[in-house]
Amino acid sequence: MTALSDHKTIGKLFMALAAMGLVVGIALNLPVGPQAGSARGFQGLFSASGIILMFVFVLPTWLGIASAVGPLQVGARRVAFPRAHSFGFGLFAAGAAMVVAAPLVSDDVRTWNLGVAMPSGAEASGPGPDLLILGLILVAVAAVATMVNILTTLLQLRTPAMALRRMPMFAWSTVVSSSVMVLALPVLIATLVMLFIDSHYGGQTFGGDEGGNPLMGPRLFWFGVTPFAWSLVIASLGAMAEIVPVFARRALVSPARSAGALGALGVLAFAGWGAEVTSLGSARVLLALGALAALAPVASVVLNLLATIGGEASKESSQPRDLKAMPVLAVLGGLTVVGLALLAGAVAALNATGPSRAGYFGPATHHLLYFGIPTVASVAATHYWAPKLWGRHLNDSVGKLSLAALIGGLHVTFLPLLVLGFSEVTGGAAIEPGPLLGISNLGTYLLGLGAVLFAVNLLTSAVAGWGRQAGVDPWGGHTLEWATTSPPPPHNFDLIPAIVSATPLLDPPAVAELEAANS
Amino acid sequence: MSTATRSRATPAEAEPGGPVVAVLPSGDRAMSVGTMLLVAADFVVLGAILAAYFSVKGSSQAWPPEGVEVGTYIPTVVTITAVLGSFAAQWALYAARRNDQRNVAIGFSLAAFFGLAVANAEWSALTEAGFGVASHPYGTFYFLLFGYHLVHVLAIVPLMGLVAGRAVAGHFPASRVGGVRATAIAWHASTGLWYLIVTALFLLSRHA
Repeated sequence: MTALSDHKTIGKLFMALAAMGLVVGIALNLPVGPQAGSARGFQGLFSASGIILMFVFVLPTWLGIASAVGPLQVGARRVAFPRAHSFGFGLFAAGAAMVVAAPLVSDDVRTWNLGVAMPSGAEASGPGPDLLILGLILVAVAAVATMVNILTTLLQLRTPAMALRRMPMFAWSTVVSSSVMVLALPVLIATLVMLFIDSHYGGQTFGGDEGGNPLMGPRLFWFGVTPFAWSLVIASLGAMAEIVPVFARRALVSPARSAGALGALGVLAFAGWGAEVTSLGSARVLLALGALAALAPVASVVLNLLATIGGEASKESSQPRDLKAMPVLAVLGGLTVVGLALLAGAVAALNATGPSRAGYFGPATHHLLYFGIPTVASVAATHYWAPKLWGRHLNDSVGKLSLAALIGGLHVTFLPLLVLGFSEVTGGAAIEPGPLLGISNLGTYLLGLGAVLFAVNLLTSAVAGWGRQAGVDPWGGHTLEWATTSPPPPHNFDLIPAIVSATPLLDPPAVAELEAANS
Repeated sequence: MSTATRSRATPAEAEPGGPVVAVLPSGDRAMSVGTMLLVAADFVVLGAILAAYFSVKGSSQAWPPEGVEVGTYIPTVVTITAVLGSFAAQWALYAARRNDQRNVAIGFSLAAFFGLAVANAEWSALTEAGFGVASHPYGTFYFLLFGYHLVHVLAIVPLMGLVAGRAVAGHFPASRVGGVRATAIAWHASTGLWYLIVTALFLLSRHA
């Protein structure tokens, strides 16, 4: 097996690409030059800069972690289609480069918001739009191919006796999120292909002299991207549910409920898409109820995490509770973002037909839900699994600084926008936007600082080999990836224990046998 | 401790407290599962295109537009040829299960021939349509849907040729039919996509 067909290498490449995407995505949102101090704020989630954050940071982060960790967690020695995996990464990197280049080449696409209307005519042609549309198509195709590969691996190549009910929480969340992605992203691909045919060959799908339906573009777009965005939240919650029990030194409270909640979220992810589409009229009320229902499983997982943190450590645990370790700190900080996002999501859903979708409230809610939650979870997951994937810990101090900046930045950026938006929702006294937008802009700089620190920390550790060397199981993990060396050999495992639960490393006699074998 | 690998463990080995074993689960079924997942994604792409198609059709005064004659000759030829290709691909799969690699090669060679015939018929449908992509919304969808199927056919035909060639070289014993099954599934799926396309473009082409 060559290095480039090793799923861990591909996973690390995805993660490195994502770290760079985070810096670029936030840089494009920085209020600089004439925009400084102006009413810029974060525009729609699917404006060009938002697209970069979603498709060149959040998406590859989770593709990377799922690629690297998923097969290890289920005891697979490789992914189902190793060559397709490396080809998928190449395709993704090419697409990501095109997406990032688009707003640099052309100012036109900076003002696009695909969630509101499909651009048409001259606005949709030229090198900038071409780069954005084709780049997004490549990214989405590569993501589908990668997720098909991971899903097939988790379903078919897992070690014997690892029934679905014994699957670790992150692996299960990856099964759910990849299923959602495989069913949702093709809608986005089809929409973008039709948009490209319209802009390049005079097609009349979303407009034109002879007919076409301009309302259809945003509808299809949201039908594709809403479940896709939720799939990233599902993977994030799965990672959080994996990390918390390890440091709380006890098994996750009600794992079946958490697994069920993640599965339910996978279904409900498709229920709330139309709450964003103003042209749907009264149907939006039903779809907004779907959006509201999708928040319930998230709350359920969060409550389980809190119960796990609040409970007593297991008597069998040989290690003390450690709630100050960087991965669990990131989860705890992340839960404040989840709480704010749930609150904002509920208000937005309850006001589906009101003005909350316009102005500041909608974009702020979307960013918190679909960018905020996956971002803090990715910080937690990277700090947690880095020692396993490349045998080095990330720098703790830099990590804590980046975490504080990112979580602080998320609150400082989006809380003022929510306050501004809330006054629109309630129709209350108008608030002078200037000062609040100024605070929000400061938050963007804080986010930028956090992003740069996180990217530097990750790249110096993974590429330059900085940081403490890690042993086989530095955290006292519960799942199979901690049963092999750090970093694992190309074939992942020499020995795999018989699986009797979702936390095989807590089950004797596997522990002693594996420790002896790996020492 | 032994580090020998073996294929999927028996249930006895998977029992709680059983021996620690090095296992290498078989990846043969994975090929079929992966192909079916890709096929599912493919059908969603077509579903999204058809959603746009029916929405535009529903808001149009005349569908297809006046002056456009929707013939039945080419869609009939394509449908019959695609189904013949499916029979040939399935013949190849049955042969592979019986370890009859000669018939795998013959089955996929025939299926590839039928695939080329489908591609030829679809190409002539596009070149002789009498209208273009930009002529009207019907033209846009006509070219998009035909093109969508044509891309599939042109991707699968070389694959079938490759599998036929490898079968001649004896690469598909009865214990390793994953590649043969996946290729057959891909052709069946493309035929399924065609059924939906022909239904939308030709059978449901007029306003009630």
